[in-house]
Amino acid sequence: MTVDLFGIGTSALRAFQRSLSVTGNNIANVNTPGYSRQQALLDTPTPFNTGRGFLGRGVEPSTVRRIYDRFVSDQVRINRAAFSQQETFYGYSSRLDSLLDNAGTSLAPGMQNFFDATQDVATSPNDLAARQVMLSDAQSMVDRFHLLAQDALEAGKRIDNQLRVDVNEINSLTTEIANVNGDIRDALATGHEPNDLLDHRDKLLDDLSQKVSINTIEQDDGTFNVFIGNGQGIVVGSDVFSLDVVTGSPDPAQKEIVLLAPGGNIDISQSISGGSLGGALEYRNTTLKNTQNELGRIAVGLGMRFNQQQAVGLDLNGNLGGNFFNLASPQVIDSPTNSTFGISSVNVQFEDPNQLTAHDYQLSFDGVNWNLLDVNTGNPVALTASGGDLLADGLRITPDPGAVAGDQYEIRPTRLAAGQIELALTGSDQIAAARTHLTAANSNNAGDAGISPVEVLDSANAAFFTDLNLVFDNPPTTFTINGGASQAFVTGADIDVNGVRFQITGSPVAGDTFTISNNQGATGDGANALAMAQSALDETMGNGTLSFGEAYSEIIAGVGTRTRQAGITMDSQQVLLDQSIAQQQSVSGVNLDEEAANLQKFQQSYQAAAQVIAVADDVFNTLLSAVRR
Amino acid sequence: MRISTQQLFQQGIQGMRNQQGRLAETQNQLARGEKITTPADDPAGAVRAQEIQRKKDTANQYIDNNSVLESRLNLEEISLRDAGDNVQRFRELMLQANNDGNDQTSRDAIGQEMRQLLDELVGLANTQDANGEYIFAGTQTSTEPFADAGTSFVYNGDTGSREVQISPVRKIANGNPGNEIFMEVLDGNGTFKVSEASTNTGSGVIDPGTVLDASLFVQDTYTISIIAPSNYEVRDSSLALVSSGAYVEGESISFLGVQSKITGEPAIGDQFTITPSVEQSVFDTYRNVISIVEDTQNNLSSNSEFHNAMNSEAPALDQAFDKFLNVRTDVGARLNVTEKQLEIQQDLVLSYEEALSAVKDLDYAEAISQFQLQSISLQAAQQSFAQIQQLSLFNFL
Repeated sequence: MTVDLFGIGTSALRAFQRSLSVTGNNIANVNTPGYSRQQALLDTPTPFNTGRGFLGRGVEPSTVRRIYDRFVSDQVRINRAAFSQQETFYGYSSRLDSLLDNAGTSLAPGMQNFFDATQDVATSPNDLAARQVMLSDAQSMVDRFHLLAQDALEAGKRIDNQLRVDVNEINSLTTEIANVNGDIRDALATGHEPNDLLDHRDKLLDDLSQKVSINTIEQDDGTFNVFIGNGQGIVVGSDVFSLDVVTGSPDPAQKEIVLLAPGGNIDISQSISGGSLGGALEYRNTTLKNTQNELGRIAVGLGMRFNQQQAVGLDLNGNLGGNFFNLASPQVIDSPTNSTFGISSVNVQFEDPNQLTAHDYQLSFDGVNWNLLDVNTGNPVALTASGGDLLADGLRITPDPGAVAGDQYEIRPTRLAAGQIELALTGSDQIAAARTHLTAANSNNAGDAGISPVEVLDSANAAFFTDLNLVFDNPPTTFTINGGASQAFVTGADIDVNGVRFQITGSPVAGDTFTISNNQGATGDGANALAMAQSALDETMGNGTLSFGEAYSEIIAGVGTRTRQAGITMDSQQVLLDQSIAQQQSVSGVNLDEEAANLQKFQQSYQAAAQVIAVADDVFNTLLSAVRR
Repeated sequence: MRISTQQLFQQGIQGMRNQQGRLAETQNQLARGEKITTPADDPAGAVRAQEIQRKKDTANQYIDNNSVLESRLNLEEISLRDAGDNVQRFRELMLQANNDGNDQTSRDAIGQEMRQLLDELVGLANTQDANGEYIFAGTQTSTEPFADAGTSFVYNGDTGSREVQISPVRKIANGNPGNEIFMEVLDGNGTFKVSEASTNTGSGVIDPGTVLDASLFVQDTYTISIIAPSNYEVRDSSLALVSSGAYVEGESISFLGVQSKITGEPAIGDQFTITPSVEQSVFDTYRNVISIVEDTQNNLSSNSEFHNAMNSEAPALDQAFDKFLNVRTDVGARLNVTEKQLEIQQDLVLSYEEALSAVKDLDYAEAISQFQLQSISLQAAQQSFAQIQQLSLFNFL
């Protein structure tokens, strides 16, 4: 029987030593990330059947288990992916946000200064200093367009870099996870859970979910399969499917993420979400793209408006105004599968800045008809035929005659426009501040009829600058111009001569004379500059709903709201993440006080077990001494 | 609830980090004096601030335009006042010259001064502003508008005028084209002009005449003839009789809403003509009067011929004077509008500034008390962290 007591005592000593070392290990790993506290589980061995009852045989350690909750860990990962996405988005977005409204970089003061300078030219059209200021303010405004456009392009590059770095990390994480998967499978074959390997894998999955949102499915052999996007497996057992960053198609300027699957590359840029990868892609596909388009729309709208006004005015030298700004054509990207790829393409030009949207389009040919799809809304856009061209949303599209059914084109009307607007004028004398013609009623006119200012129809008309003298016949139901044929008079009706249009309103009497004179030399005329200044404040965009300033405010409102929203979501995701981490820590984390108490407990138990052996020894000695006698 | 040691530590740190973040944000606001540091702080407020800023900048631009406009209108006003004074002085000289006691020498002296007045008036009409622009040249402001073409003065400007925007809806012309003021002045009394036939032998002098009812007057040339024995008759250009009666010296002869009278002793057969007024530049009128005063044609042999010539030309100066006055009144009205708009825009700028301040500026009292509260919170977080870190069962083992 004493042998049993020895055995019981020794088993207890061993068991408590084990418990002590597990406790020590817990204390040692108090700061190890991903460590789950462990517990040495004890069991009673099969009792000894004495025939008069079962007699216990001491204690037996069964296994060491980690305290762990699968669902809590999954929750942490979900929250981590969501938080990381918002954090990344917020990082990009807040930079743009502060850039848009910073006094040094905002477009608003740039435009305002330019418009104010235009007013100054209208007020003092032959003040060379005022003209010079208008020109240099125009350049400053163009510089601000460029700065914002450049920053957006650079944000795109930063995102491309981030994609590369993230994808590399994801690949090394998934490789590691696959390795650990194999180790775990082997270890589990021994019948015990490899706690530290499991912790290690959990930690790797945590790190992975910081990069991208993942789904895990545990297999029967204890391995985890990891999926991203729409269920694309990146780890299956101990096999890895790597991701790669490739040049986009059709747009080579944009990097895309592909899964290197056995059957070929799968583009997963659109389907992956969550994590820093999801945040960067979301920012690129929404805020960044929209801001670029909106900024470009302002550049195109403003540039075209000023160019139009320039064209109907005279500069300081009496010449018709040339373009104020140079604008690039809309960006068209041919699909590489097009029959005419690299040979010919559709031609797209800006037609009406008022109708322009800040959307992207997809143009396709079905063999008979051309179809236009608004990518942002997903709705088809009606095309209106005009000559051989098609008109839609302020664009003039000249179809490619060589196109065959299935050919596709991405049209991004204003994406790059803000970076491509340039000041066209080289000298301040080229600002067309004056009208082309001056109209006047002769002071001796007996009737009360008045003449409108001239509207320019065709400044290329050979006789455009010819002075006109309009005299009413007797009776004044007809009139002649420069002694030509009599024309019928209708009050207020358009009179078109030599590329100019004007109206005479009221009741003229016979002999009343009106002059339409060439305004070359009228260096003191600022009427055209005033029209420019006026149009700068008019709502000439978005179908007459937006002025240039308002359009810019809309960008700020959009980016500001989105950034604020991202900030708020980030904060609430932070709370959720903290909560789920707290929950996980509450289950798996090491508490030193608890371990200290355990230390005490196991130490005392150990001492007691030692005492059992001492008693067994005593008992044995007592027996020995009895026998010796 | 079970709490892990790491979690306790993390929680403490997180708490301090959050408090520090808020404190830094308030500190940033205090340092900048603005509520909104980036649009994300308050997107609606940021856009509102931008709108107000835009309106304020535009209003300030209108104020700038206004000051340019005001100085131009003031210059025009002064020039027209001087031109009016000039005409006034010219008329005084005319009255002097009209005095029958003058001999040709003294009239020549008067003519001398009149020539100076003409030069001065041309100078006034060619006034340039500080930028060197001719203010009476329409929009051809770099061309000297009025020039002596030998026989008459010509206008080289145009009929345009430059409008200056002084409010979103108000554009005011910054001047009047010179042709309206100096060129398009009616001669005679504004309706008709009198003259004496060169064949007259009597000493009859026709006065410039007056208009009783302009609506009755038919545009035509009328001839008043003195016929025997002592009658007059008025015939139109087709020799149709319009009116007739007995001629009494100094008594009005009236027909078709106009009237005139002949003084002195016209001879039988003497004729006086009434022609409808036509436009004549004020400079040409000056020069015509001067040539009468100096008798450059050497054809004014009698006082009555002199007076008839003067009565024919001189009334045009009244028209010029009225014209200057009218334009001056018009300029004055524009100056009034300009001044009112200036006040309005200045008030607007003030109100925009207030609104901007309400949207953007920080409420310091609130921010400072918040700052203090946040400092205390941070201190509390730090102290509790330090104390909790001291608590460990190991300390008692």
